[in-house]
Amino acid sequence: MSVDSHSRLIRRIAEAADRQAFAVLFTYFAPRVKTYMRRLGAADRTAEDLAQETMLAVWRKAALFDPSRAAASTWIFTIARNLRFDAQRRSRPTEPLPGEYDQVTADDRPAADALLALADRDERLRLALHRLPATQAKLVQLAFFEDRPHREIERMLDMPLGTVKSRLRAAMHRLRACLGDEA
Amino acid sequence: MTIVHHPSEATLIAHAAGNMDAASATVIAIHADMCPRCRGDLVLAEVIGGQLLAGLAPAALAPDALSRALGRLGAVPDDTTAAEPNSQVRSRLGFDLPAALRGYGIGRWRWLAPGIRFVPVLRRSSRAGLDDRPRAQSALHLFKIAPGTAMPGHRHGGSEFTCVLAGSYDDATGRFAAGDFAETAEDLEHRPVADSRTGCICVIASEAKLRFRGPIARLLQPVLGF
Repeated sequence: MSVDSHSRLIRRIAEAADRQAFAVLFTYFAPRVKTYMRRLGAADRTAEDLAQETMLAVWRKAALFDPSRAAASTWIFTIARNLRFDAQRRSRPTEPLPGEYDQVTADDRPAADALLALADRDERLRLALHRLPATQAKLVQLAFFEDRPHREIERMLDMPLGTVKSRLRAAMHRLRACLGDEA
Repeated sequence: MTIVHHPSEATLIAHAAGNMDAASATVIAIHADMCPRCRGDLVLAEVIGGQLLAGLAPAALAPDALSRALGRLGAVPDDTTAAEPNSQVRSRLGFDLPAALRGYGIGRWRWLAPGIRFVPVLRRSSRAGLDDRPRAQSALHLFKIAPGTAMPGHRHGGSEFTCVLAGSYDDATGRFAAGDFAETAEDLEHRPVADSRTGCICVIASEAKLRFRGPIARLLQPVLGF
């Protein structure tokens, strides 16, 4: 399924509360969001719940989705990540509060930066990711999914910390560059 | 405001990935709110995240997952929020709290040592929490260091992220002013000194307790070794 069709499904939800469109999005994204949560270390049950919550948030926030600012996958990714962050915060022992205040829920709109606002940037980035040298691509993946990024990468790739840092910097530089001036 | 010190790429990527504990993530978010360059990198990393998400192998869901979701579509979310008015926090702390800290209940300054006050925000934890493996969760503290005051020399048992909110401090690695981000390695030993005119307010996520040097500082260890 193309990137565009995911965006169109979100629009269908926003405009017509289209349950069929939701079912299609759910079938594609919910199992992947669950994998993402598992990769970050979430227990199976938590990962399943967060995948549910993510897709329900997609339904509720569909009207906020702006396909000219972000691809569907980027938008859904940020929703999933923010939900995990909120859940993590709620599970933490916090200091006693001066009064009773709830946690503020993170804002799920795509980051409102003027940067990278082109509709085709995701496609360009996808290509650029594929074109990265294998080690750099691996490093970016590890930085995403490993628990203690620096140390884990150091251990897994048997690469000194300085090299890890400079290769990641190089990878980000290449990705930025491939997006042209707006990056 | 010219920001000189930034988080490493690995730290920014891990943050965008949702792969940071709450305390560390909060300090990075505070820096990014003040730093357009890092905000740009985070947006870039989110796009990478979307790509990686789409490329992940699908996990098996509960057989009734979709029907359960469809059954909940009409439900109203229970995420109503009531944050404390910022004006109230300002009058208690004497400065404007960064947005990323407003979701926490922030108490009042407590005395720690001469010239040093702090507010505990999150306790350190190594519980598994929502995960199926334990995860080091940094503590989060606000610090207010009086003009010219030195923190007792100390060594870090783990990584530490600091973002300066107001004023500045100096240590062997440089000068850190408002917006600057310090990523302290495990083995760094330093003795930060607050600017002699402005003092320094900063927010710190620390993975392990600090280990102080010197007999007097060691007496303070039970108090200072947060």
